[in-house]
Amino acid sequence: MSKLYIFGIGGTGARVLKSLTMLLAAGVECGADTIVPIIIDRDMSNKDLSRTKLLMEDYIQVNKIAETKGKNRFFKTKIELLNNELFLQLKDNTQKFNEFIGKGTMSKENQALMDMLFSKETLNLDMTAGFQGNPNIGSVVLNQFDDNDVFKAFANDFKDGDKIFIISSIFGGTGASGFPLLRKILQTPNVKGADGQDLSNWGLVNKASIGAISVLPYFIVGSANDDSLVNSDTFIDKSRAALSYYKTEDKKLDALYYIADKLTTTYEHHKGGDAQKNDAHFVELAAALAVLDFVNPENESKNIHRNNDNSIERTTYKEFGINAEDAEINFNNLADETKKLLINPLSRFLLFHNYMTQVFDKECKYQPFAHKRFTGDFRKTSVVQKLEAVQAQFFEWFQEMEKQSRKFTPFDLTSSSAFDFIKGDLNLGKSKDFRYKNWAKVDNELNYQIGKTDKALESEKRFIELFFRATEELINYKN
Amino acid sequence: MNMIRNIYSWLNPIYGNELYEYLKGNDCDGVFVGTNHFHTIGLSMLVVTLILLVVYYKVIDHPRFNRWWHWMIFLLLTGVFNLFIGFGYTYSKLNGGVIPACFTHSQVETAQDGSIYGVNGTEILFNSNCWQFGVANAIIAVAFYVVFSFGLKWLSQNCKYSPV
Amino acid sequence: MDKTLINLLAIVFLLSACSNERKRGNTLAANVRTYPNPAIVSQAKPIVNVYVENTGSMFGYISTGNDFDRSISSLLTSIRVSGYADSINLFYINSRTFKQNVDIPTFIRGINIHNAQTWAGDLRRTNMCSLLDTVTSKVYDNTISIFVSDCIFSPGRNNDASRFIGAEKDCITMNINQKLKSQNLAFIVYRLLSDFRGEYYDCQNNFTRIDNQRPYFIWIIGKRENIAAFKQKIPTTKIEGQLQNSYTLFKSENNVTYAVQLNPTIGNFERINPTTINRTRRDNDSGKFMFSVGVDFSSLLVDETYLTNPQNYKLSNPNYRIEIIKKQMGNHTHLIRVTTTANIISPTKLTIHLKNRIPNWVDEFSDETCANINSNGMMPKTFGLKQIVNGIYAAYNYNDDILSEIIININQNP
Repeated sequence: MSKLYIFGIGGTGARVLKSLTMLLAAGVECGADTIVPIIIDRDMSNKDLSRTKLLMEDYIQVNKIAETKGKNRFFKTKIELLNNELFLQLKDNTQKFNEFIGKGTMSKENQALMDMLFSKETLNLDMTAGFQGNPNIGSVVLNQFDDNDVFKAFANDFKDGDKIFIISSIFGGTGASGFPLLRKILQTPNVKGADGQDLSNWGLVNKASIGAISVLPYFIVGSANDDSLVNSDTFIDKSRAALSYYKTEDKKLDALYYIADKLTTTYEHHKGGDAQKNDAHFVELAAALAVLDFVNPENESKNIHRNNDNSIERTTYKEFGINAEDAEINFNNLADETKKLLINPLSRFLLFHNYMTQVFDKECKYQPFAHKRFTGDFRKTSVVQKLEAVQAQFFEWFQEMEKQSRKFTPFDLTSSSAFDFIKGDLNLGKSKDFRYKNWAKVDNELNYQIGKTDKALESEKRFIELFFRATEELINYKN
Repeated sequence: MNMIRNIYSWLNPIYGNELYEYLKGNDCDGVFVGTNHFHTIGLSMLVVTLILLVVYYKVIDHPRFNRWWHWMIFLLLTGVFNLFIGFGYTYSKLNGGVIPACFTHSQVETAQDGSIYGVNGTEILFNSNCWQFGVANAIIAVAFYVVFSFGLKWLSQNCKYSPV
Repeated sequence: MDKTLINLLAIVFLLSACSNERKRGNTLAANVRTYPNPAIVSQAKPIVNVYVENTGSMFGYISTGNDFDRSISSLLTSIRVSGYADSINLFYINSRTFKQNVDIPTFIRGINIHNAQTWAGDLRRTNMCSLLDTVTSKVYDNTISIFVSDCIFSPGRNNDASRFIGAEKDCITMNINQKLKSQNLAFIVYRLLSDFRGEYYDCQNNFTRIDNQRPYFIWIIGKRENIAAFKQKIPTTKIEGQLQNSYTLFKSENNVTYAVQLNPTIGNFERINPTTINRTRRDNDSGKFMFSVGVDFSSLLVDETYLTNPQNYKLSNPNYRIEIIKKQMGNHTHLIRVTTTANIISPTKLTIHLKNRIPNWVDEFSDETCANINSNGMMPKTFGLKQIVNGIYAAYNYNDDILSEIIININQNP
C-alpha cells in the first residue's frame, strides 16, 4: 500500500492538487493507493486554498463509500490528510519583511548590506499576503519547514516504498523559492525537529523516489490597481533566473517535469487574500498528469534511475505536449496516451453528474434501479450530498477551463443530451440497441446493472457502484 | 380446462345461458357432446393476454414506457382484442348456422326428416349476445392480465415496478 | 423470480388440464339413463292371427257397412297396407278356433247363425278366461293375435254369474301370469261402439231383442316389441267407426329418458346438467316460474290421452303443476311443462311419477249386476269387463304403480 506524498507549493500547487483531485474523483488510474497532499503556503486566506480544502474533505468522505469490492473506480484512490491538516502553514508572527529578518537588531554594516540587497519597498513589505512574486524574499522565509507539526507528522508517517512529488510554479513567489528549499530539506540527513530530536524515518525520506513539476507561465496578470508588487512583465525574467538555479537540481530528483503555455489568459490582478481566485486552467490538469505519470508503476523504469548505492544516477526530464495546437482544444487534440487516460473517466463522471442534475429527480420514482432504494431522502444523506458537491465542482472546473484563452472544451456543458455532450467524433463504443435513445438508454443500462451489483452493499455504495458500471458500459472509448 | 369453463360460467349472466351451454359443448338436453368451445376461446384469450404482457414487459421494455398508465394501455388493448375475439368467434358460429336451434330460438319444431329447426320470430340469440360475450371475454382477459402482470413484471428490466 | 415460476406453472397446469376433458369425452350425468333400445321394430314382420268370436251374442253386430264392419275392415286393411304384417290369418273362435280362408268382408259377414252352426262350438257360454287363454297361447315371437269379442262373461244359464266373475278374474290372472313368465307380452284393448240389432244375451244367457249402440272390444295381443310397432304403424286414426276408449297393458321397464330444456321457459334458471337446475328465478310480471322437460315416452305403450292427462301423474311437491303436450323434438316425444307460483323456489328434488292406472272408463263401462240391458245406463256397459282387465293387470304383478319416474333437482345438487 504505497503512498504518494505531494507537496503543492503556493497557489499553483493548490490548483494542480485540485485538478488531481478532480481526476481521481472521476476515477483516472493512479499508481498509488493513497495520496497525501500537503499544501505549503503563507497566504492562508487564499480563496483557492479554501476551495481546495473543502473539495478534499468532501472527497475523503465519498472515498469511504468508493470501496465496493466491485468495479467502481470513482473516488477510488484514497486521499489522506496528515493530522487532518491539508496546509503546512508557515509560522511567523512578524509583519514586515525587515522585521522578519530582524534588520533592526543588525549591526550597522549588515543593515547597509540589507539595504543594498533589497529595495525599500521590499524591506517594508507586509508579508501576510505572500511574497507577491519575490522569490528572493520567499527563499529566506521559507527556510523553516522543519519546525512544523505537519512536517513532523509527514516524517512519522513515511514508509519504505512511499514516493514524494513536489508541485510548484517557476514564476510567482511562494512556489519558485519553495521548491528547491523543500527538496533540499527532504534530502538532508539527520534533520532535527524544533525539539532537537531527529525526525523519525528521515533516512527513508532521504532515499525515497522523488519527482517534481515546475509550472512555467501560463497566465499573465492585468495591470495593478493597488499597491501590488506583482508584475507579469517580470515573469519571464524571473522564470529564466529560477530555471538556471534549477539546473543545479539535476541528479537531485528522479524526474523533473515542465509545463507551460504560450497562449495566456489575463487574470484579474489580486495580490492574494480572499480575492485570489483564479479559474482553472488546462495546464493544471496536465500538470496533474505529471503526478500520475510519476507514480505509474509501468513508468518506473523510465522515470527512476538509481545507482547501486541508491543515489540518483540521472534525472528524467519530461515535458507535456498535445497533438494539435488550437485555441480551443478538445479530446481530439490530445495524444493517444492522454486520450486513453482521460476520455473514459472524465466522460463517465460527467455523465454521472449530468444524469443526477437533469434526469434523476424525474425518473427515480419510476425506474426499477431506484425503486425503494434511492428514493425519498437518499439524495439528502451526507455522503451523497458530498458526492454531488464534488460533481458540481467538477462541472464548474470544466466551465472555468472553458473561459481561458486556451480553452479546454472537450464537453458541451450546455448539452441536455446523454451522449452528445462529448465533442469530437469519438468512437465511444455504444451498443446498437435502437430501442433506447438518449437518457432512456442510460436508464435502461442502470436498470440492467442494478441486478449485477452486490445486493448486500449499503445503499450509497451500491449507488456509486451502479453508476460506475452503467457509465462504463455506456461510454467506452477505444482508439 | 374445467377451471377455464368455470371462469366463463361466472360471467354467463352477461351473455346468457343459451350461449354458455352451446359454448360449453352441450347438446339441447344439457349433455356434453363435445367440442368445448371454451378451450379455443380460453386458450386464445390466454395467448393474446400473454403476448401483450410479454411485448410490454420484454419486447418493448422501455424506461420511458414504464409508468402505470402505459401498463394500462396494454390492459386496454388486451380488453379490446379479446372483446373482438370473443365477439368474432360467437358471431361466426351464430351466423354460420352451426348453433343448434334449441339455443338460438325459444320455440323449435321437428321437420319431416327429423331435423330440428327454430320457429321464425322466436329468436333469442342475437348479435348483441355476441358482443356481450366479447365483453365477458374482455373482462376475463383483463383479470388474467392483472394477475399475470404480478408475475411477469419481474422478468422485465425496465418495467419491474409497472404498475406498482 | 419465484412469482414468475408460479405463474408459468399455473399456465402449464391449466393447459394440461385441457386434455383431461377430451379423454372423458361423452360421459353423461349420473341420473340420465342411456337411450334404451326402444320398444320398437323387431326385424321380422309378424304374422297376424285374427280371432273373431262367433257366438250368438255377436250376431247382432253384423250388418254390412255398419261400424262393426267398418272398424274391423279398416283395421285389417290398414294392417295389410302398412306393411306391418307378413300375413293375416282369419279365424272364428268360440270354444274352438276355425280358420277362414276368405276375404275380409266375407269373413266379417260370415258371423251369423248359419256359419256359426258350421263352425260350432259351445255357443251357449262364453268363458272369457279360456278365450283369452286360447288367443294368448297363439302368440309367439313372430305372431300376434287380434281378438274381437263383446267380452260378456256368461257362465251359462242358471249359474249365478256374479259369483263366478271373481273366479273368472283369478283364472285370467293365473293364465296370463304363467305366460308372462316366458314372454314379455303386451295387451291393447280397444272399446268400440256399433249399432247392434238382434238378440242381446246377458250374463245368464237370457236374451233380449235390442236395436241400439252396443260396445265391443278388439284385443291386440303380442310380444311387447310387436305391439309397440303395431301402435306406431297402425295408429287409432286408421280405425274407422266409433273407437271410444283404449288401454294398453305392458310390463313397465321405466327407462324413460328425459332432460330439462332451455326453452320454453318463464323466468330464468341455470342448467347444471340435464336433470338439475340452479339459480331459478321467477318472472316478476307473471309471478310464475316454468321450465320444460323433454321426455321420450316412446317406450311406453300408453295412449296419448293417458299421457297428456295430468291426473295420471303424481308430483312429490304440491307447489308444482304440470302440463304434458305431445311434441317431437329429437329423441323426445313429449314436453312436460312444470310450473310453480311459489314466492320462493326452495331447494327440492321434484319427482314426477306417471301412474300405472287402469283408466276410469274400464270401471265406468263395467257392470257387475247383470241388470236388464234396457234399464238405465246399462246399454254402454259390459258385464264383467272390469274383472277381465283387472285380471290381466294383476297378472303383471306390478311392484309399484309407477310407469315412469322423472326426477329433477331444483336449486340443489344431485
